[in-house]
Amino acid sequence: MLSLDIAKNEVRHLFRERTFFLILSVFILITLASTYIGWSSQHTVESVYQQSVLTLTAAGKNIPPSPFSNLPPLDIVKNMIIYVVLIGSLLAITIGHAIGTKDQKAGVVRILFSKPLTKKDYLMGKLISMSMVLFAITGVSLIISVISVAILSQISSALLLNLIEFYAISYVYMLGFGFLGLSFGLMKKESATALLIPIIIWVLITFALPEMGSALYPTSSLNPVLPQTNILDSPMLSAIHNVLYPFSISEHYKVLSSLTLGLQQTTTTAYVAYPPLISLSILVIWLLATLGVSVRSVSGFDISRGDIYE
Amino acid sequence: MNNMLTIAKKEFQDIFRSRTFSIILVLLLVLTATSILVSTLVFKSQVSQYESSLALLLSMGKTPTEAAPQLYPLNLLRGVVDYIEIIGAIIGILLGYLSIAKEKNTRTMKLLLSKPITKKDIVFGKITGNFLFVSLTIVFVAAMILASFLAIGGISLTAVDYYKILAVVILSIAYIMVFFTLSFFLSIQQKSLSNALMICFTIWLVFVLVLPQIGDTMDPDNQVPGGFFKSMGFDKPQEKAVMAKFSGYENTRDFIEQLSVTKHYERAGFAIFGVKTKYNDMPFPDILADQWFNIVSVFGLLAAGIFADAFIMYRNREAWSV
Amino acid sequence: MQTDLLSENMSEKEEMKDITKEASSKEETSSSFVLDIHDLSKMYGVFSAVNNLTLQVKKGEIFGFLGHNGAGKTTTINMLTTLLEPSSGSGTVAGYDIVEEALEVRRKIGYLPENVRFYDSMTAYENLDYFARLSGISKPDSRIWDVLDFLDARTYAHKKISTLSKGMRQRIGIAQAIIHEPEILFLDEPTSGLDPFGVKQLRDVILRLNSEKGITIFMNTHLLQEVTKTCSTIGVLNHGNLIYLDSLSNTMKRFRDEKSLEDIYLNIENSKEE
Repeated sequence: MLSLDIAKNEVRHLFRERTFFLILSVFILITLASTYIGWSSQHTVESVYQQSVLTLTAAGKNIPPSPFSNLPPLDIVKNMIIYVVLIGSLLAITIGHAIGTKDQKAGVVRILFSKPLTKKDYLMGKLISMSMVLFAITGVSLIISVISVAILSQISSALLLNLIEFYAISYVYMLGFGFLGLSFGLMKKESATALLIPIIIWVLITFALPEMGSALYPTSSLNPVLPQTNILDSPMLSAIHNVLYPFSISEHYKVLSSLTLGLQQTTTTAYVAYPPLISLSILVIWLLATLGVSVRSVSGFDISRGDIYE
Repeated sequence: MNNMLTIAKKEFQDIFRSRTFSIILVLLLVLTATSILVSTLVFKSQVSQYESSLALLLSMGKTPTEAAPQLYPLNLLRGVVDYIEIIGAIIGILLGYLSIAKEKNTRTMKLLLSKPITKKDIVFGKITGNFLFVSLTIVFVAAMILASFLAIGGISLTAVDYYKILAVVILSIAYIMVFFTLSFFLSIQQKSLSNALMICFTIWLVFVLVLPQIGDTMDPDNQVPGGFFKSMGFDKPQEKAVMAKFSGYENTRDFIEQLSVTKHYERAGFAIFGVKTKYNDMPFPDILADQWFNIVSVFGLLAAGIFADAFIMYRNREAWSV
Repeated sequence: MQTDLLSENMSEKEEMKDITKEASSKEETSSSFVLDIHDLSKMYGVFSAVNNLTLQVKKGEIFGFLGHNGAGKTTTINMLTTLLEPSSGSGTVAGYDIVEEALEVRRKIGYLPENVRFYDSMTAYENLDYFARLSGISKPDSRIWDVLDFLDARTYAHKKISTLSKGMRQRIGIAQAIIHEPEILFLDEPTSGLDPFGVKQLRDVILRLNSEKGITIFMNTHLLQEVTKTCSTIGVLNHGNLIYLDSLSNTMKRFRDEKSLEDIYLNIENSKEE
């Protein structure tokens, strides 16, 4: 019960923060833009193909079939995968950070815990608000995607289900980062450090692991169409891959998302991805692990502490 | 001048005392090293693949059509440029933030200003101190790159290669300092420090990650793994001829990319290191001439940032008492 | 003259020891103590912040806990309000064990930290509503208005905390501490940072809380004036040790030659340090 009061207060607070709206609007805008960008590049690419066909015909050469002739209908939302990895997870870290540090910044920790409030209720309240806010944002994002797909491409109940599945996976992925932001917000006494550590973890997961384990250049991991790498040809690289790939959460998320959106033929790299069920389990483990971190962080939380530095 | 140097020295020492900061630094160094390692392994695997297919061809009595992969060692540094783009920008943002936050948190700015020093001393002292630190970091990264080349073995650098590395070192320092001046500015200008940090990270997100990525996503050639034009069997001139028909689209794409200082840094860095193959055999001065706009953009933004920092420091009267 | 003073100090010191013992071993039934602690200590590594503190506070008392900065007063309050676990020793507040029954203790106490702060972007009312709910009051509206009326702060209810003066904030701080009608109220340096007018207003509030609502008050302070004007009993803490404990009236009698409580205080502290 007390945890619900805490959760309510968190949500109310978040909606009074300007910076929250700043990052939220970036995310919403990018959701809007991503479908349009997908649609516009798809159209251009189709025209580029037509133009190439003319060139080839004039030269009297063989005309290869269009690689875009049977694009899946949800191809135009494929950029969302990247925006979840980039913006969505950072947004979640920001929200978690705000929720985790709020009471310390306000300097009310001692008052709070002079009330009959357990650390467990306190953490529960924070976790609930984190999950609810992110749920709402993901929901808005889903609705925007559904509407824009319906306008720019086509929609059916099966496609709708795919989109819902995709956003459910994205929710799990982002929520893990939210829990991390929350945990370090509770753990660290300096606000900047508390924000920085989850961002470092994010850099590792988003860029470093894919590079070390799958030889993807950091900026290439931002491309929804993954470049081909032949890491299995090098025994050393394939050994590193075998060790690191299970931990490369962003890759599991990407593979799983592309499968859900029906894009698998364009996103697979040369290495063998895990069966979807294993990738999914890894995502769930990721969420549970971050949940564990938050439980640890609250058990070490000093309730007699005063203010923290920003 | 003396006051300015005193402040610069203190900035420098403060950074070394910050634990968070050392973590980030170690991260940059480790990632850079791994990146070089991975690139080398990829390259070596390409060579051995070529050799085995060559052996196969020769055993069948055919002549090879493909040229042997040629190693331009600087190509291996693509990942380093990538990481400086992303983490270097974070380092710049943090330095700018910490430089102001420590004064605001401990309310020491008033104390500083009560001494016979000018605001000019403070701004330029802080910028100088951080500039020296960033320079040291990047030089250290460069030294580490050279060391790993030695460790890998079989890689020889020409004199021009050293100049190229030096050029990218200077460019990287300027790039990181652009983000320093940005967060320095916002930390003074914003009443709440955490707001300042959040805005910085939002800008970082948009300009370092999103805008360059939008440009890439919209690239028609990127729509098929391995490249669309390659799949159509086109060569470069043919590709150009086709794409000429889509100049409007291409200009929009280019414009979006140009909005980001990161892209300017990346284009210049990739050109100098020959990541874009056409630059590999181009004389170094020609590369610089070709990339003048990107290089000038980075330094121009840095100059604008320094100007903005000085401006806000002079204009701001109250923010220090926060 | 010098030797006289010294011998006087010595005898006082011995006398004081007896009194401390006496005060703590009075034949009171334990139920008349709202606060009852024995050998409470808090160590930070090798540093002992509070050392074997034994103390009882009777129901209805206003207890002034004196000591200079860093003497261990806040650490003591933190342990009594269950925010900090003692390294050793035991104690009850409002009849509940401060370690084993922390939540029960919290239901019975009110606490005003030093330099109290709130959620700045929320109004006074919203802050009080939140803290009241956490105190277990599910419909706090009427309570909030009652408390605000008692503190003469009704007009500030819908103002954002960030716009309130320090004195007003302090009153809202008391409001959150008494909204659930606690048995004992812990005030940590309540007058710090207030102007003389604010100090007087707060003093009046403390006296009224005690007389009208019957709340026992435990107050940390380093201001002696405060103690003489509000407290019925005083204790003095020095480097984590309780060096003096008696009623205010006895204290005044014992040190009748001293010009002010300031002198008494210095006298006690000096005698302890020698």
